[in-house]
Amino acid sequence: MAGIWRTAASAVLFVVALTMLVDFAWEDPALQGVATDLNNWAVVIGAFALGLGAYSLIVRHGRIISKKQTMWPYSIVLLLTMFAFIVTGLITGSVTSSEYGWIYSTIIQPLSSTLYGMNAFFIASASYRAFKARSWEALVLLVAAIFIMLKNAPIGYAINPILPAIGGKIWDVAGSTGMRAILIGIGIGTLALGLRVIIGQEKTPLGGAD
Amino acid sequence: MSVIQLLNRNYKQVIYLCLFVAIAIPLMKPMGLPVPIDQTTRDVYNRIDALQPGDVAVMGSNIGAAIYAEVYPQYVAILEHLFRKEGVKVILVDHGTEGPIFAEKALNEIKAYDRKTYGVDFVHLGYIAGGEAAISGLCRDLHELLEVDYAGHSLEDLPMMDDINDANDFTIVLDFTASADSQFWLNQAYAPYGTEVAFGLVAVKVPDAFAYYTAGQIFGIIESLKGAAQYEVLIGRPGIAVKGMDAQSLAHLLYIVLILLCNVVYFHGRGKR
Amino acid sequence: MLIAGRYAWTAITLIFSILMLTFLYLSSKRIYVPQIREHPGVRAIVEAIGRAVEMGRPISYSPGIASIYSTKYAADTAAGLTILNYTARETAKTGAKLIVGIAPPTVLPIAEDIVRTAYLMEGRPEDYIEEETVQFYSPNQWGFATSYVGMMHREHVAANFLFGEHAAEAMVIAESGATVGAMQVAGSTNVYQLPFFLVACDYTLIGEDEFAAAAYLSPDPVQKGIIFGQDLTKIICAIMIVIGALLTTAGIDLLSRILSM
Repeated sequence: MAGIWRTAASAVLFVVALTMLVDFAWEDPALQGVATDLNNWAVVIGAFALGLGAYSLIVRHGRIISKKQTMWPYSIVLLLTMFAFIVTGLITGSVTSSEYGWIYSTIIQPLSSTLYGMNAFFIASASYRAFKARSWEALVLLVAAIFIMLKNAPIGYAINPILPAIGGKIWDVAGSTGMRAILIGIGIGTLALGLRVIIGQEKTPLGGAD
Repeated sequence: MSVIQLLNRNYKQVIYLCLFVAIAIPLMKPMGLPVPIDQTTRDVYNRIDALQPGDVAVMGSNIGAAIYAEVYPQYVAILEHLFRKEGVKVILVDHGTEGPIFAEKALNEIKAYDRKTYGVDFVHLGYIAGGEAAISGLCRDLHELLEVDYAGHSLEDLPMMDDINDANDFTIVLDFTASADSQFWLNQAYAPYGTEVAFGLVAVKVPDAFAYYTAGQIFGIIESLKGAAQYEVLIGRPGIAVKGMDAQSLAHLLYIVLILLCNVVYFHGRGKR
Repeated sequence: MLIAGRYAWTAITLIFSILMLTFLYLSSKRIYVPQIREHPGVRAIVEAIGRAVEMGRPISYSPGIASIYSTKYAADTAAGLTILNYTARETAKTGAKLIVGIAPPTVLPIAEDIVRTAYLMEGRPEDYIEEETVQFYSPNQWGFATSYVGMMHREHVAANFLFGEHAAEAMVIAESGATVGAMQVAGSTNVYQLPFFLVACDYTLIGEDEFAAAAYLSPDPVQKGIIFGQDLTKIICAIMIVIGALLTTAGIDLLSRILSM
């Protein structure tokens, strides 16, 4: 049964992918209409995926609570918080209501901002620990980092306008060049993955990780 | 214990304390450092300033709580500038789940509903699931994808949406995000329709976007909090971003001092051996 | 008819696709299986495991926070799981303790299967402990990051491996690993996190290095074929860049006009 499902899914994937690819290059009103419909179905599926994500979380953490696995009290906290958000949103009818905004700004926003802001402290300690000029490459890296930091903050311009100008040149010439090369690699890699998925060689998106 | 020994043993505590002080003091007592304007920010400003009545500006957003501090000030500054342009239509659309929260917050912050008429001058389409498929659908045929806006009003009841059908009708697109979904607008609006696109990004994403900027595929970048501060200066509305620049300056200076110090300690240790 | 302005895109996509599919076919039929050199990152993995054994401390592994069904990051996650297979087998051989931290629920059963099988193949099935060797934390990136960091501190890991897709939590995890004194090997195609890995980790596989390492370690010849096809397309791009740069410098915009068609 799993084999038939995977074959059918691969066939659908192949046809849909080919339709979208050909639509990008070939001008045909009928094809364009089909491609637009397929695109919009993807949006609907994306919306359902959100609900599926919530469902799998409930199932997963419900199992942890029922079997009293490691850190099960936190699963209770997670589910209670999730239901509080869902119920508030449903009752008030909007995520921009004052009630929803209150719990969002008192729970989610401080937590997310704090965790993201921790990066600044970690970068500081990493700068002290790791930016040692152990080799010529490391020396180039740290000199470039210094000039880029002076470019990215007004203090560089205040000390001397030449400093951010040097940082800008490093950014324009070396940084974006390297980035462009990486982007080309990513683009080719994405094409390769797309081809493997389309022809059915890459089974993981269809649940067939071997 | 010497300073070098202290730094080697408890360096993390000392560094975190110094960073906290470096950020906290300028926020409480601003130094007022001048904010030089980058060309990437100026290009966005000039392009928006050149918009004519009837032009359509689309503001895409994937702003969330984590990137709020960096990207939200950019969003507000650009929205303020757009709302100062007479006759320019603004469409707000979100491709992140938390986007509508910050879109409405920004609209309320600039008093959008008092200044202009909803449905005539601006529309908030809300969050559309599906990632790149959602943006593709918007660019292909907006009315085929959506029937109602964020508040549930039918698009047919919103006069400005009558003449806006696909990406050919968008004059510019500005996307505010921290992740790779800025690529979506390039793929779905710029590549097939030639729509002009600019980004408002967090600092880590800027090198990636810069490659597109130098190639002329995007017309500008608002680079993190620095870009937001520059834009606030350009529109003459200094806000939280400009205040944050002094803190950022001192923090960057601290990082540079730490890098130099770690090399002093390293070479001191090597010399001893 | 072809849409004007997309002729070059169509031609390039077709040529690159045919090239990659050709080598995919040749390698799948074992007509031609390209040889991939041993990646230095693989040696770093072995070195880190050896260090952990000497110190008598555990090894932690994260295959990333992206789902295996993600269209964008599936390849990253798959590469992370391939390297997990290798790491688990090397760890089982040495008798070190392995702890795998999982973010997306979809990856959990796959990772459990990979690690359990690896221990079985090395003749140490008793070393695999259900729900302890492979631990599910949270699909939320920050929930996962805090859990993984807490585990690293509690277990005082000696080696930490970060492969697959990592986002903003990469710096938090990598620096915490450095704090506990772990030797760290990381790899990701998420270029925005590479600077953090480079600073905080002992060894970093940059971009497609991760895929190359996974292809080197994987018994599947198709992975090697597709890497080879990708490398050929990159060579074509490099040649076009050089020719284009020379022509543009000489004031000839022929290549630009061709690519804009």
